[in-house]
Amino acid sequence: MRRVIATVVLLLAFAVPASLEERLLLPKKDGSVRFLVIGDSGTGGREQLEVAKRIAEVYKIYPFEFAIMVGDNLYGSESAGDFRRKFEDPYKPLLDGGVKFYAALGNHDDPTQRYYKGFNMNGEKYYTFKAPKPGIGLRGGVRFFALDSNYMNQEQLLWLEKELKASGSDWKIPFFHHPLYSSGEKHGSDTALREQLEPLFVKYGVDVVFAGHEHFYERIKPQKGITYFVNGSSAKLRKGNIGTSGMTAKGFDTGYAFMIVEVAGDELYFQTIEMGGKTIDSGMVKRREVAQGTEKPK
Amino acid sequence: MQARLSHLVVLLSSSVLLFGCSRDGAQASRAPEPAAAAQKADKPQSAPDKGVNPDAQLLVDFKTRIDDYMALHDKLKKEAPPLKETKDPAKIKASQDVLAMKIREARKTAKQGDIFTPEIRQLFRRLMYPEVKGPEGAETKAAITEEKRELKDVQLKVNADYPDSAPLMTVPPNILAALPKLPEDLEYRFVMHHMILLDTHANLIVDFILNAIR
Repeated sequence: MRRVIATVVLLLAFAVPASLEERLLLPKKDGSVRFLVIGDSGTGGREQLEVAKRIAEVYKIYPFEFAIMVGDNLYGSESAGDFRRKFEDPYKPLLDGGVKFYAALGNHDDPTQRYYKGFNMNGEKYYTFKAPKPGIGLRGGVRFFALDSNYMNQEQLLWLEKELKASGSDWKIPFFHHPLYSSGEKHGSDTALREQLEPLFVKYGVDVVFAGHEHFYERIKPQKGITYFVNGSSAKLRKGNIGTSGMTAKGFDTGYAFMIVEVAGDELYFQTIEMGGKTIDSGMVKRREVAQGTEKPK
Repeated sequence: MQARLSHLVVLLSSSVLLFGCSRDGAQASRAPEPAAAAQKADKPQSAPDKGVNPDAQLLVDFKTRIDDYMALHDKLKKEAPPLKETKDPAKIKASQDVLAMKIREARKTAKQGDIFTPEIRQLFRRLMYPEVKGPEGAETKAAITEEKRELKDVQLKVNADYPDSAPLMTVPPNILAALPKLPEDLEYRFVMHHMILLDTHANLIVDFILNAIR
């Protein structure tokens, strides 16, 4: 009888879902850099609102300072009402909390979005910004590079090389719309873009890249030492679209998702959460210069 | 890629040299294109000057046409609400709409071929062809044409709006590297196999090339 009761108690314990806080896997280290990643988010539809609601819940227990948007920030028309419905209203709790959004342009975005203050693009199609705080144990801090992958011309490539070279940052994190690597059956890897960007990423010590465009979540096995994330399902979903490329470290194409990321010294922690609140991926990326021993850990 | 870039640099350098000495020639070739002739598979209208790289001459002509358009664009931009960073997206839209209206009014007689003349169209097709031909170019071609269904609302017409409902197709970097550089407010874009010249501030189709890639 005792054994039966113990089994029932055990089953009940497992049946009670852990709170969101208990399911938070990021280290929450003092002084770390914390941010949100969303992609292909601007539909104004029910799914965007549901995902945004979940993000707001996460924000309460894990206050991140800023968010990056990997493109397709507004689908369809772009009137003032659309900006409200597809951006300002869904993310109101974050905007009210002072979270700054930094957008990259997707193929559904009008390039004039760069003048919208809420996207912090300073009127530029491509731009760079430094995380508001340097991050624990980092001398050079964390720098982001928002690229316009719709129109990768020579000027942009030259600008990127100049900025990467001069950045002096410990973490250099590019984000843009079209993924260099993807197992998507609809789009797949953008090899022409990869030909241009990957050599720069490798040369200047990029460790992590965020993209969207594919309406699912995928973490690619490190390519030339770089971890690529595809995160284009924050409002759109292409069910069952991840093919068998052999590149997938983790894929999720059955639900909507967003990412929270924490940079703590030489480690970057990530957690990907689906609309229902379940964690679908998590892990840590170590800075290559440290991992390869070419630079001493601080 | 390097070789292609070098080729374009040589062409453009020749264009710059030519620009100073053959402006009259370029102007002369800008006579309105007969509509019927324009439809005859874009056959060249006039023979190039002897001793001058014909491609370079065409690039000079193209640059002149672009400069003329931009002079008009910049003049009318001053009459429209300024496009600057704002919290109010309505101001962005107003700037875009007013500029588009003014350009349409100023270019109400504009037609296909005013910028992409038959000769320039042929040159552009030639410059892009190596990037899209054969199995090597298949991925570039696929990237350009992948969103076919979503582009059905785009009207290939000078002075037409680019519709909100249609995505802007990515222009592969190798294609951009093969073509002459444009000023900031102008972009090359594809609508399936056709190329448009898009004024991104006014969200307006300035000109287009049918079957730009094959």
